Amino acid sequence: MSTNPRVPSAVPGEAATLRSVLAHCPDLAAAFHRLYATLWSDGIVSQDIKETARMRNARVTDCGFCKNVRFDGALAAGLDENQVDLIRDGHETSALSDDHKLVLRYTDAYLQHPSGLPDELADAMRARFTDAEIVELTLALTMFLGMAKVLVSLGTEPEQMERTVLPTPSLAARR
Amino acid sequence: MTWLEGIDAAAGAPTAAGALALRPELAELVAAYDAELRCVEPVLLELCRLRIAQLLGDSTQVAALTGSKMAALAAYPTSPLFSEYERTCLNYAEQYVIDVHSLTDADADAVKQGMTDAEFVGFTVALGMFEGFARFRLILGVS
Repeated sequence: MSTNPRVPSAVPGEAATLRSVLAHCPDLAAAFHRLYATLWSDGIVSQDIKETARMRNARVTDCGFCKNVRFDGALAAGLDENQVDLIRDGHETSALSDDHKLVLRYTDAYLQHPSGLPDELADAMRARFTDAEIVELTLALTMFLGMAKVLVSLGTEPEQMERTVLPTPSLAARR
Repeated sequence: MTWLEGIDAAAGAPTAAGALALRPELAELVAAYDAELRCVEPVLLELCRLRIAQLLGDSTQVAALTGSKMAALAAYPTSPLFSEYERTCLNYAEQYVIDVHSLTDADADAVKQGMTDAEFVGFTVALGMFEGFARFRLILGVS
């Protein structure tokens, strides 16, 4: 692991962060932002459900940046730090809601044994979510895992970071 | 086999595209993003994509392997069909999946010897998406 950026910033005068490093590939960065922002702000799965999955991925993948970021839309939707603290091993018996526990079990399956989804978990997902919502949530996991690993492998994780609330990614924010 | 009843499998086995069609606005953006990932030498990128699929047991992708080089992919560390640089990149892709934190600066430098900074960034993002979409296909039971 390294917290030394493995690629320099592409933005003159700016430190190497995920944003400034992705600027080496502006078309790729723009396409990523359009997808990620739409997923978050124009999605059909609630933001607190997606944030729960993102936080679980952050902790399993051990991405320092991801672990310390909170998106304000999920906080506004009611996800608080007490709940976030429970998004760790043992979540099955925690005080989290049934919805959150279900999403965490699905997230763990995606990250640990995606080819062996138990029928019981599949049934529970179908009972709670529509097929379109399941696809969106799974795509969200795909993006969370991918970008967490990009942050780690490019050395763009900060050595230390305070908990930071960021605006939920949206297309409007970039206009 | 997929467990999502809403995926249109009329034309054959259910696919990732069929799953994403349930969220058409996102499917369009995924396609645009995927197109931008192809900024690295395409054979090298495809070798890494398929090696990641092999590692994760994404059999529908592995079944599409054709040609002697693709068939020898699992033996890339010793097969004469692969260049030293291909081995370096494939090993990097493997470590990325198995334990991304184990990648060292030296590992990254070895890959960067054959790429520009922009290509290395694109390669890194592509590896993340290859792994992520392999898991997407596996958990949804699509090809």
